[in-house]
Amino acid sequence: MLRGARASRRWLPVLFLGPTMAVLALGVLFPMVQALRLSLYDSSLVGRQEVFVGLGNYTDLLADRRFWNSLSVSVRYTIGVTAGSLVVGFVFAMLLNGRLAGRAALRSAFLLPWAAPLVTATLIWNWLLDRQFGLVNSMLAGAVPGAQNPDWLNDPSLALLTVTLLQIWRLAPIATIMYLAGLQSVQPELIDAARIDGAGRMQVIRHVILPALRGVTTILVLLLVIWSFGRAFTMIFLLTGGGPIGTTENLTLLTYLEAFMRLEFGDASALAAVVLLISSAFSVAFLLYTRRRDA
Amino acid sequence: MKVRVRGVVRPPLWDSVSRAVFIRTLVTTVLAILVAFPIYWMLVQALQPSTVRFDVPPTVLPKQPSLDALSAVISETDILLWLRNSILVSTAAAALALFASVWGAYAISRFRTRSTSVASYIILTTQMMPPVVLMVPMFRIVLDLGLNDSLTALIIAYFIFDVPVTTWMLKSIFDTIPVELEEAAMIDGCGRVQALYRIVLPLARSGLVAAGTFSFITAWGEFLFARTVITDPRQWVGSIGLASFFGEYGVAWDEVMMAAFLFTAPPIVLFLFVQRFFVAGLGGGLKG
Repeated sequence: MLRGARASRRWLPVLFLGPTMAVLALGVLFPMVQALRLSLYDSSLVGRQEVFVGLGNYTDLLADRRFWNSLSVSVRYTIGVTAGSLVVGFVFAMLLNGRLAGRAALRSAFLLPWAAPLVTATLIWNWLLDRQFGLVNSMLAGAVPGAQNPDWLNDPSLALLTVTLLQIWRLAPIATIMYLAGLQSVQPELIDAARIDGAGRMQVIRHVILPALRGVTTILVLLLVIWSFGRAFTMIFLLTGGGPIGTTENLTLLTYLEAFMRLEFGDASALAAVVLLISSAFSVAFLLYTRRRDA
Repeated sequence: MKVRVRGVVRPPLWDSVSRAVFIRTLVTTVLAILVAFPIYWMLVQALQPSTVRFDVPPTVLPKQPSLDALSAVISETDILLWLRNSILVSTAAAALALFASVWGAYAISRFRTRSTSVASYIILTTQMMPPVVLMVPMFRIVLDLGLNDSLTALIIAYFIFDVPVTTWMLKSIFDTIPVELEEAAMIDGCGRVQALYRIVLPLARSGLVAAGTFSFITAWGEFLFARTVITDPRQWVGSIGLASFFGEYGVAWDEVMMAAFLFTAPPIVLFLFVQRFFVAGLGGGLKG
């Protein structure tokens, strides 16, 4: 009986992990493998026969100017959103960390952009940014007389900037919360010591606070890049649909259009595989870099 | 010295500390208003008859508040149907996600074996998977199974996407419950499963609610997959329904905003209730 008890104890973790792993295997790993397999075929929903083309879809992709455009859009968008969210999140966190009244309420307010459903937020922004009737332009006209009504969403030189700023609006709350938590674990003695040594405000921030927050920043960079590179879809899709002349057409959007407008599943899967490849490469490279740096 | 500022600072206590607090509160409040403004503005627009819509400059405070939009939007759109579908899908997905995650979270929290560290690695990796990658194969599977245009497909998909996050949250929550309680119970002859069921779960109840609520909120706002799978307007969930208002100038604006408000209020209210878990979880995740 004792032997049976020990044997079952070894299997217990596996048993407990069963349901979770089964769900992930079926729901994530299996489709992923399917996507990779599909990318090797010329496959369409329009009833054509599936033909194995090997890496044909990929070479077509690399030769397609639209692909390179979407890659460029994705990269610029990701850099903008990540940098912007980090900065804004840090500033907000610094503000919320000090002594002030109503911290809980203010923090909740800062979290609203993230808590509200994306579709409704997008709907509201679509109207706020309207060239003629939007609040943004009227406030702009009131504050800066002579400013020509910018067409935030339809001007090819502005569209990408606009969607980037909106995504920062949406993601900065995450950065705020994480930085806030990090700030609250910075030891006050370090700041006091720096102050005693005559450090000014900016120097304290640069030499004490920012280094202490490096762990947070690392995680945030990873999260923000993954989110803005591989997930950003809804806002851009609804606001610009890929933008004036493809200026906001990122990889995710292109994949969607390829799959559900042109119904070319093989090509779309190849695109998706590229997104996966780049995301994974970044994650691995980034983690290796930080591990080496912190060692 | 603690200085409490209640709204207005009363002189003559206007010393440098309370002034600093006041300024900081003021600046932060202004920023908070700017950040949260779109959500507030939605409410304003929902309460305003649409005749006022095209005022230039647009109004910031409701000029002639009325609830006309509420009855109008209910009778002229399918908002109630969409809300019903959203509630159905989100609740089911959250419940299933919780049920599937509890076991794994408990295992990773309590058992320190190779299988559990591999598992947590896999969970972390699946979280980083771009949804685009899964979109096409999942659509094909849904099509092959004849589940397109069914809310069931959404429930299953959302529950699958939620499991990694929910497992992670539950693991953090279980970590806060001392192992000694279960050990004591097991000495008394209690099995592992019973220990989980009788001791850990009741103690983790608020954490379970929080994790479930997050799954609910995530499913509620999801758009891409819903739009892909569902084409039958009778099966629309809120996010698709509201997205249909884009480029649609036939519906009065106050009704659109009222619909938006109805769809936005539930997750925000829920979020406000569980946000401290969110904050704790994100902050606590740093130490892990």
